[in-house]
Amino acid sequence: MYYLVITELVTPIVVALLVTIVKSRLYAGVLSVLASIISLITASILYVDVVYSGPQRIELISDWLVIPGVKPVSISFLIDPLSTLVSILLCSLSTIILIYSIGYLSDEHYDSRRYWFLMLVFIASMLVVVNADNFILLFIGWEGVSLCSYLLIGYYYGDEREYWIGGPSGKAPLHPPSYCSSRTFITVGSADSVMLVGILTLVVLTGSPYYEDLGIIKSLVSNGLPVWSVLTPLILFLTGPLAKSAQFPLHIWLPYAMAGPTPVSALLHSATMVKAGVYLIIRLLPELVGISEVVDNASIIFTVLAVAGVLSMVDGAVNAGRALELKKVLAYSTISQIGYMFLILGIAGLTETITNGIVASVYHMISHAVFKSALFLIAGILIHLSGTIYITEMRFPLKNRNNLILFLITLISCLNLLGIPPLIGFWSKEFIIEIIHFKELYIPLSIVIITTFLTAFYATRMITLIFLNHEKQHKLCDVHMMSKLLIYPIIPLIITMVYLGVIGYWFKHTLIDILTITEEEVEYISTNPLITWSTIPATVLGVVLALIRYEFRVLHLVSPTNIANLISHTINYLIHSTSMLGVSFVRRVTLLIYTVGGSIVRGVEEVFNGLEHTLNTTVRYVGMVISRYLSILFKMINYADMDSFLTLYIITLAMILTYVMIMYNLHLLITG
Amino acid sequence: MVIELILIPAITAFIVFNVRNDRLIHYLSTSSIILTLTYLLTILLFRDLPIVENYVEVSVHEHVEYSFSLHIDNVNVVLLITTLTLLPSIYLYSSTYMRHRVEEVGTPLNLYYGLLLLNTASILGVLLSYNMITFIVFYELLVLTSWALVYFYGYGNRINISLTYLVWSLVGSLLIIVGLVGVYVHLDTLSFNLSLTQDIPSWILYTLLIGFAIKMGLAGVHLWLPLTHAEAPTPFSAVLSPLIIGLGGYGVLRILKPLIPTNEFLMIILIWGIASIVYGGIGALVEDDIKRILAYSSISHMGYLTLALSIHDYVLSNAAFSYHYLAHAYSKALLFLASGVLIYVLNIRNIKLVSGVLRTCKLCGIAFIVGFLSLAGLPPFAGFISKLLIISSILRSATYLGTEFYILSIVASITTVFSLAYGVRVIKYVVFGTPKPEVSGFELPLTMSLSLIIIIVLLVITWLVPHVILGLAVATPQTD
Repeated sequence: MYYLVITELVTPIVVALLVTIVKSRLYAGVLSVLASIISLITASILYVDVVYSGPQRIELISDWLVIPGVKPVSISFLIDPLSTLVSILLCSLSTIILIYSIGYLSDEHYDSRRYWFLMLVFIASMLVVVNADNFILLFIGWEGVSLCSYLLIGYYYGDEREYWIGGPSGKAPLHPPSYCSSRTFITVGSADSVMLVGILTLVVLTGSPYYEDLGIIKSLVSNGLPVWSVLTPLILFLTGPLAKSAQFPLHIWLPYAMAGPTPVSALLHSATMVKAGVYLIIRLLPELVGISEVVDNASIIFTVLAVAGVLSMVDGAVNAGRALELKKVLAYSTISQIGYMFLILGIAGLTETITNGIVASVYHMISHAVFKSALFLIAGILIHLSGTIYITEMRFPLKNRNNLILFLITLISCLNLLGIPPLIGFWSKEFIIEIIHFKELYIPLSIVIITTFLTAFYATRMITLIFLNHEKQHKLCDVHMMSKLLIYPIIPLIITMVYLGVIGYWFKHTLIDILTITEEEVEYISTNPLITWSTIPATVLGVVLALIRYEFRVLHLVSPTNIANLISHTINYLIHSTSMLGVSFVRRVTLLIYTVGGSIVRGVEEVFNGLEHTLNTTVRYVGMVISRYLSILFKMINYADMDSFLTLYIITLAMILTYVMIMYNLHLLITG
Repeated sequence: MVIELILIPAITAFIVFNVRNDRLIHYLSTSSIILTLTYLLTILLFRDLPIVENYVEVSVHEHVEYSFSLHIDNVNVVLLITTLTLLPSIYLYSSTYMRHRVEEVGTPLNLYYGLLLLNTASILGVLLSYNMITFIVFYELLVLTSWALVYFYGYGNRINISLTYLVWSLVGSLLIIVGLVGVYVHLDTLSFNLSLTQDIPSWILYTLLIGFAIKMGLAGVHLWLPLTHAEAPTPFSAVLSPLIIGLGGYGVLRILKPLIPTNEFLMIILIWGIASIVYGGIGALVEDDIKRILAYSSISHMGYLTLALSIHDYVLSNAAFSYHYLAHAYSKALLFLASGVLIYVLNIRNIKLVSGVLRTCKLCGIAFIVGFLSLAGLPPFAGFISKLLIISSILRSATYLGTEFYILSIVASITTVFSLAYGVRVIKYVVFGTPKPEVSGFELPLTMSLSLIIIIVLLVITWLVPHVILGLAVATPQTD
């Protein structure tokens, strides 16, 4: 098992180093795919091993870092069902995405070896995050993920015009990739720094960096540690997962992250970056619930999670309905879907249904990873073929056979997003709704149903605008040739969606069996099946409204007093006003901070420049005499080498003598 | 035994003053530094710490017994290793860069190398000295040689700027001397083997603190620093910024910390550190000149060293200080050398005028990215470990010192965001983007690329083996 773990984690890094020296770009790609397949195989073996023989702790390097006063930090990994399951998800998706990348990057004029190197390090960092058993190691992987995402989003660092995002030009600002990557990294990296403070405070409090020792806080609090000194680090700690998973109000970076190559977005949205935050909360949920049972008011962390989840759900869905760029629609959709996971984790913490909460979020994580990566891979093809990033400008008529294939794949992925049975998206969403309903939390339940409606709306809008819209002025894309490397990797994803959807009910119970953590009996949830189907009408309503608005264009045909017209206007109004809540709010706060901070900085600079000027003038006058004397001395040094030796020697000697004399005289003066 | 560490560069300096062949000068000076490094490593391999050696003992008066003694112990060993592992790269780098600069200025090359060697010898002298007088003498020699290097080879208005540096440093030295005399009068010893006591009047502590703060360039007394660092010849900036100004912090660690300052005093150090971090960070964010950005960043990182000094436990403080000295020295030297490439090849210092370095010169672009990310404390570079150590240590010391310290520590830790922000800003302007049409790709000279690669490798290695370096720094706590 020791060697399996080494193989799983070290292979990507070794191959990453190897890739930088390989001459051929194709071989570099093939090597990377092989590395990720090896990781996948080892992760699967580890999973089988763990399910039968129980979780294990594997130590690679003991006592790697000794922080004085804290238990030595080892490079050690916790191999248990949760971590191996997520590792398998990660490795299989990254294999598919890397195969796709071979086709995608074939005609780039950037050196793609950098791409393979960074992708592999990205995957390795995420594996470290998933498998780590202590905070320090986790943080190394965590920062590695941020770093790689920064460099990958800025992959087109040359800022050529074709890679800019935003717009369309004239209507909204355009941004070059370097701007987007910097913005992403500053948001995520700052949050990471804040999170590190929280982590280290917890580590120092408990005296141990390991997850399992987090429970020491309970005894510390009962021994009189003030509650605020526990709550502060916990809340600081939450900043990291919230920013990484793009949750309100730290979600502003995710729409910018689409500036990178599309496979990067696919990996970033499906398995690596935005899932890291969710995974960390899932990993620590039992410990956090344990703390909240003992410490007063500690359940505030779960409230924060749930509220952030709810706001992101609505905000993401609303903005996805407005976005004009294809990848931006998908990015906002991710924010919305991750919101579901945070909501259910927050509710699980508040109501102490640990296992169910974990299973629901892991289930949704799996289903979202599969369909979102499929959607992004298709988006890559669509953008590549149509030559535009805006859904309003794309048009793929269905008469063409290839277009029909693309349409069907998009449709199946979107049906997952909508949660239509019998696809996997239905079961994962269903379980979340079941839990919320079982706990009789009607406000979150209603918000979830509203979000379902909005989701149906934006998904239908996207499909309609790309494939069904019949306006004449759009560019037509009749696709005859399509790279097989681009389309084949998506097929296994579609098969997975359907297959897991068919066995969805049993898959859920398998997950519950595997992931049961607490000793106590798992609470079996039974609700009225009508509730679980209650989202279907909302979905249908959303679909119908979007079709009315974007496909049949009832607006133009029927009189303005038409009800449909009224509703669609209402929706548009709703969308615009609600979106003010999200992006504009953050933008305004940022602007305020920037303006106030900027003026303070300018003021300080002015004052100090003035001070420096005054002091320099003073110094110049004081030093005039010294300068005259010394300049003569150094003119001598300037022209003669032997003299310079002597001069410096004399100066040194004089200095020593002077100081001895000063010391001696002062001594006499003071002691009398 | 230990004195050879100072003697090798010093004697080579006097040889180099009399050599006229440029190539021979490079070989002599670089090999002497490598020899010194080898010598240090040999000592560390075969002798146990601490090593104390007395050479000359003079009894001037019945109360004044001066002994010229040198030592290596847990406090200065990491600093010595840092200095001597970093300097060979800088000497290598100088060989190309200074040939270019010497032609512009018209001053002979042997003077540069001689002064640089003397400068190195005095850095080592300051670190090794075990006695207040020796310490001060070497410190003054350090100031003089630095001044001469800026005076002869600097950029811009170098005569006035070098004078500003000299006067500020002398004021700092004066305060330090007054403080040391005060310490001597109260403890009756010139040796650094200070007996722990709290009887020292507070004015002495404050005098010493301000003196060393001037040497470090903390906010408020930093006015000489951006000027000098920006206008010094670039390889010497890479010595001046991380190595020499860090010595001020070493002085605090060596002299002030054993005197067991009170909590209020630690609080002042902590607040001053936070102020420096914020001020330096903001300065680095608003400047456009790459070397001034790096200078402000140095102010900010001297703030981090000050945070390490505010820790109440000596061992913790020493560990965090040593590691950050190392990480900052490597990263900042790397950045100065990389910005030297811009000056050497393009003769541009404004970051808004240069773009696309990653395309024109890959290694230089990578050096910028690695340097700034290490400063911001990201793995896999040494800065990560030092950030970790400083934050965890100040938080740990805050649990002893009280609530105010706890709040301030959290504030201080969050200010690490600044390093990230200015780093990303410079990377965006300099490294990314399309190069200007008139700039074609350029190959770096071998010595330059070699020195950049060596430092990048050092940054990664020190991240990989933190336990070795920390083992040297915290092995046996100083109890006497």
